[in-house]
Amino acid sequence: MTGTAQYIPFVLPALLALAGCASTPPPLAQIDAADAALQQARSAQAADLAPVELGFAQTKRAEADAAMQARDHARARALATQAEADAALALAKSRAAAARAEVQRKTAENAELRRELLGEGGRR
Amino acid sequence: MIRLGVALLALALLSACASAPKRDLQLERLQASLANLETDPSLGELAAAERLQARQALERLSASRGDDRNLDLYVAERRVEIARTMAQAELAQRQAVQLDRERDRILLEATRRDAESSRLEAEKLRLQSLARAEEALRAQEEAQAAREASELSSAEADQARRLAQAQATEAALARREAELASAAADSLRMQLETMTSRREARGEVMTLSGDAFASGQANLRPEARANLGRVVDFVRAAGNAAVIIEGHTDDRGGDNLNQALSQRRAEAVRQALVEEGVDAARLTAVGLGKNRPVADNATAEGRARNRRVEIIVQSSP
Repeated sequence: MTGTAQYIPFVLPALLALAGCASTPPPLAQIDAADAALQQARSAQAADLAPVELGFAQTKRAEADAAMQARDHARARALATQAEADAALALAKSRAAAARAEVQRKTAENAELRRELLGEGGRR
Repeated sequence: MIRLGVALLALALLSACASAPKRDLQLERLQASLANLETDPSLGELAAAERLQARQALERLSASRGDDRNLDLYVAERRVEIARTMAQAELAQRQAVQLDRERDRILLEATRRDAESSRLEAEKLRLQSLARAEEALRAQEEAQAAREASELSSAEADQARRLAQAQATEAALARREAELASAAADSLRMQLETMTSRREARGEVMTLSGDAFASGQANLRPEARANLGRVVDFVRAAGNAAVIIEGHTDDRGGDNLNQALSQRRAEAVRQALVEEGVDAARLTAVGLGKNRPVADNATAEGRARNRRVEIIVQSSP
C-alpha cells in the first residue's frame, strides 16, 4: 500500500488505544475474589494474627472501590488483584500463627500432664 | 572527580539497559525461593494447592509484558510467600496432631497406672480382710478355749476355795487348840507355881493335877516338867523323910489300863524329882488306878480332880 492507505492498519489499534480506558470491563470478578479472600482472612483472626497484611488488603480494596467510582477499571482491577493477594497472605500468616500457638499450648500441656500424672519432673 | 562521574554514568546506562533483565532477576529469585520450598524435607510436600498457585503466578509473570508485569510481580511475590507460610502452617498442624496423640498416650499411661495402683490397693485390702477373718477366727477359738479354761478354773477355784476354807477352819481350830493349850499351859504353870501342900492324917500332901500330863499319857508335859520347883522344894523341905508318890485316875476306861497309867505317871514324877536332885531312895512310886477317887466321877470336873498324882511326905511315926 502507498499514501494514506498505508496508515489504515494503524488506525483501528490507535482508536482502540485512545478508547483504552472505557473499553476495559469493570473488574467484578477480581473485586468478588478480593472480598472473599478478605472474609476468609477475617474469619481466621487476621485482625489479631496478621494485622499488617490485613491492613494492606483492606486499604487496596478501598482504593479499588474509589477507582470503580472514577470508572478507572484498569486501576480498579489492579488494586482488587493486589487486595486479594494481600488478603490471601494475611490468611496464610493467621493460619500459621494459630497453628504455632496451638503447638506451644499442647507442648506445655503435655509437659504438665507428665509432671502431674506420671510424676515425671523436669522441663521439656 | 571525573572518574566518579564516568562511573555514575556507566551505572545509569547499565540500569537503563537492564530494566528488562531486572524483571527476569526477580523472576529467578522467586523461582529459586519456590524451588527451595519444594525441596525442603519437612515442608516440600505440604501446601500443594498454594504451591501450585505460586507456580502459576510465576508462569504468568514470566509471560507478562508492560504494565501488567508490576501487578504480576506483586501477585507472584505474595503467592510464593503464601506457599511457604501455608506449608509452615500445615507442618504446625501436623505437630499439633502428634501432640494430641502424645497427650492420649500420657492419659492412657496415667489410667493404666491408676488401674494398677487400684488393683494393688484392692489386693492389699483383700489380704487385709483375709488376715482379719483369720484373726477373728483365732480370737473366737481363743475365747472358746478361755471360756473352757475358765470353766475349768472356776471348778478348780471352787475346789481351791473349799480347800482354803477347810484349811482356814483347820487353822482356826489349830489356833483355838493352841490358845486352849497355851491357856491350859498358863493355867498349869500357875497351878504349879501356886501349889501348896496340906496336912492330912497320912502326912503332908501335895497334889499334882492330872493336867500335868497329856490325856492318856504318862509323860509329864514339858511345862509341867519345867515347873516342878515347888514339888522339889516341898520334898527337900522334908529333909530325909520318905516320900510316896501315888498316881490316880478317874473311872473311865478299863481297870488294868487305869492301873498301869497311874503307876507310870507316879514313876514319871519320881523320875523327875530324882533328876532334880532328890535322893531316889526316899521316893516310892505307886499306882492306885481309880480306887481312891476324891470327887464324883459322874461329872467332868469330878473326873478331872480324880486324875491326880499325890506326893505324900509321910509323917514320922
